[in-house]
Amino acid sequence: MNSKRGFLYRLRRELQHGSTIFVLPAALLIILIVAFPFGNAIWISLTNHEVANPVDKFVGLANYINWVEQPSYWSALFHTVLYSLSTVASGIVFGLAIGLSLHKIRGGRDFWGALILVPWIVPTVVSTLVWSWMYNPVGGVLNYALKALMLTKSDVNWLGRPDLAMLSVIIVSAWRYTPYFGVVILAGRKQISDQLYEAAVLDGANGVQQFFKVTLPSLRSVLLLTATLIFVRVMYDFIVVYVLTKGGPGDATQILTVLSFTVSFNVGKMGSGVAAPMLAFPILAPLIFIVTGNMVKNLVGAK
Amino acid sequence: MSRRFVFVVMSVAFVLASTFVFAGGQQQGQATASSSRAAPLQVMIYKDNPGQQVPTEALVKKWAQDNNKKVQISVSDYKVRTTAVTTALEGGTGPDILVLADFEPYQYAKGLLDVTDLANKIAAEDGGWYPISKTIGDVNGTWKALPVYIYSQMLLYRKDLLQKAGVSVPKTWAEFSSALQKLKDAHEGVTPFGISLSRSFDGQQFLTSIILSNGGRVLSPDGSKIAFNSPETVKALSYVIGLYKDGLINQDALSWTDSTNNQAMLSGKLAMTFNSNSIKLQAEKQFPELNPKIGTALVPAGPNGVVSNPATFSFAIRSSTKLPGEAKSLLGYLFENKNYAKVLTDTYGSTGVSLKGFENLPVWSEGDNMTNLAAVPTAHLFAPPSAQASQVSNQYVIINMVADVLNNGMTPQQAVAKAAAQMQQIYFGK
Repeated sequence: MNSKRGFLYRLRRELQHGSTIFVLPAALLIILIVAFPFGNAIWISLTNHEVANPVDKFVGLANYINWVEQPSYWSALFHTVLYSLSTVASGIVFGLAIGLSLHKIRGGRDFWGALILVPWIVPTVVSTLVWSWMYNPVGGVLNYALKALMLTKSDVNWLGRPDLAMLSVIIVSAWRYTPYFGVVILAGRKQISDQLYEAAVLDGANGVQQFFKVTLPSLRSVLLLTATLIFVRVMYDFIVVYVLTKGGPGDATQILTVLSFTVSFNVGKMGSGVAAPMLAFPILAPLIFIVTGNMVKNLVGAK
Repeated sequence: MSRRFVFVVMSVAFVLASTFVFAGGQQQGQATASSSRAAPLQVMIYKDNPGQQVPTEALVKKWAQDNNKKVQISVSDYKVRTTAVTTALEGGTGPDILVLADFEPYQYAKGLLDVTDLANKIAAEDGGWYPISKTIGDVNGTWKALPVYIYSQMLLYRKDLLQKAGVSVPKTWAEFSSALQKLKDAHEGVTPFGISLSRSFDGQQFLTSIILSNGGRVLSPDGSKIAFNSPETVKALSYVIGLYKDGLINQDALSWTDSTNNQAMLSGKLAMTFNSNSIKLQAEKQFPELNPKIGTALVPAGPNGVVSNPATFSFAIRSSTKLPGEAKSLLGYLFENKNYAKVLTDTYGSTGVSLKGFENLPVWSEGDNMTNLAAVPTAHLFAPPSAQASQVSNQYVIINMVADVLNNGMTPQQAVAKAAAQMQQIYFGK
């Protein structure tokens, strides 16, 4: 009874404050366009739903258990995490180089900024197809260039060796996301007061020390947020790997989304196909909640 | 009026408005559905290298004109087709007539219209279906799809290179490997044989053909257990690995795609490959001086004879269509003797043929076109059509064995055992 009265009291306070009313429309929209499809996906993963089969049977966790028991699933999960982490790590390193260089440039910053964004703007399918031609063992421009520069005598089997195949797909993914990191870092760098650098110089800090003691700590929250969002996005990326290798050679680049697409769309087992990436959700959910929670706190000011 | 009151009213209004908009959308959807009686017949047409979409689209438009019907055509290549078919069957919207690949008539049987009457009528008029067509279209006694393109893999070879090396066209797999050795010895800078050994249709069809012609099989004859882990399968896989290790096959085969062997053949770097006739079609358009030098022949024979693992495409009708009569009428028209003959003639027979009544078409006697016809009776699937067979195929379980041996250090026996275990999981669970 007390708790009920407490709830009503809190509800009344919220209504008096007005904040809940502000949030309500947005919350309803999110429920409609995010929560409903997500809930539906969870439901499908708990059934034996197949394409064109009107009768679904509730199978509980059978689809999940089936995946957990398959070594190929764990291999795909490992590849997915490796692919995502490598993309984010490369994006941060090269994004820092680009963003901080752009900040230093005096003239034509807008032009260079726009040019660097091209990989981000070009449709993924188009840019990945171009990369597949570049990697092509028959007349691909990468091997041609390496041989012309005398860096190799024989053709490099970019997509045919398991180690190189994973590296090759990571290169394309990193190339795609680096501009985004670069622009975000540039925006973050602009927010850092020059006084901090002047104080560091007065304290005798050199360029490297300024980078590690001033720049990086000041960009920390921006990097953390961007890295988390891109990590989640790459975890569910599909096109790059599918276009370049379809998950091969063997299972060397098999990632969860390619596995899920194959089972859902090529084989028609929607219940099983949806369950595969859903199993990765427990990895992502805490990450998202922690980072977005911190972000909201920073934005509205923690009490 | 307090600010709080305004917020409450606005929020309630928003919720109500959203509800009305949502409900309105639903009503509009129903209106569209109800008005779909007057809607056009939506037809999916398959687009591929032979260019069958051109005569097929013309035929569909002519049928619509002659019968005063509205049609809406969507031309789909292989990649678009997969999602378009799934979306249509899941959502009950989109194309009424679909193009299904390989095992899909079985996978999606519950969402497809029974076309047995039409299949029997077409068979009576066009000389009967080839066995592979019946295997694909006849789902447990009910025809769910009408096979139209049977792409058989064939041997494509450079006549001039074989002649210079004193090599005749190989008829068996044993002759094939010795021919490759002679080609390698005779021609420096030319790869004797090239094909993808990665996740590709070409590679999978190539390896499957060797396995089947050597007597290997995925399922036991009664279908009760996996029979893939056999000496015959190991022998077939070892044969391919041997070709690779002897340098008779392109050493970057694990990075090739379905189109790389086309490029390599057309650039003059290959003496032989396995493919559908699309390489010759490309050569005719882009390299007319090279085309006469490229010959075609049936896949070599193993102890079980000549076996080619085909890629097949079939027309089917979505069971939720509002226009079943029109859809059947159009498909009947497309399979009319003169119309199917037109598609075969315009594509030089490269699509393959699903019915026996076209064996006397003049197109087969032109150039090397006869191989397209001769290959159809050799077409065999690696297992009876089913969702499980589709999963084995689409997860590249068979061709992945090559990477397991070449990249992951397995022996052929271990790779076959691993593939058999995956098949066991797919077919029977644990």
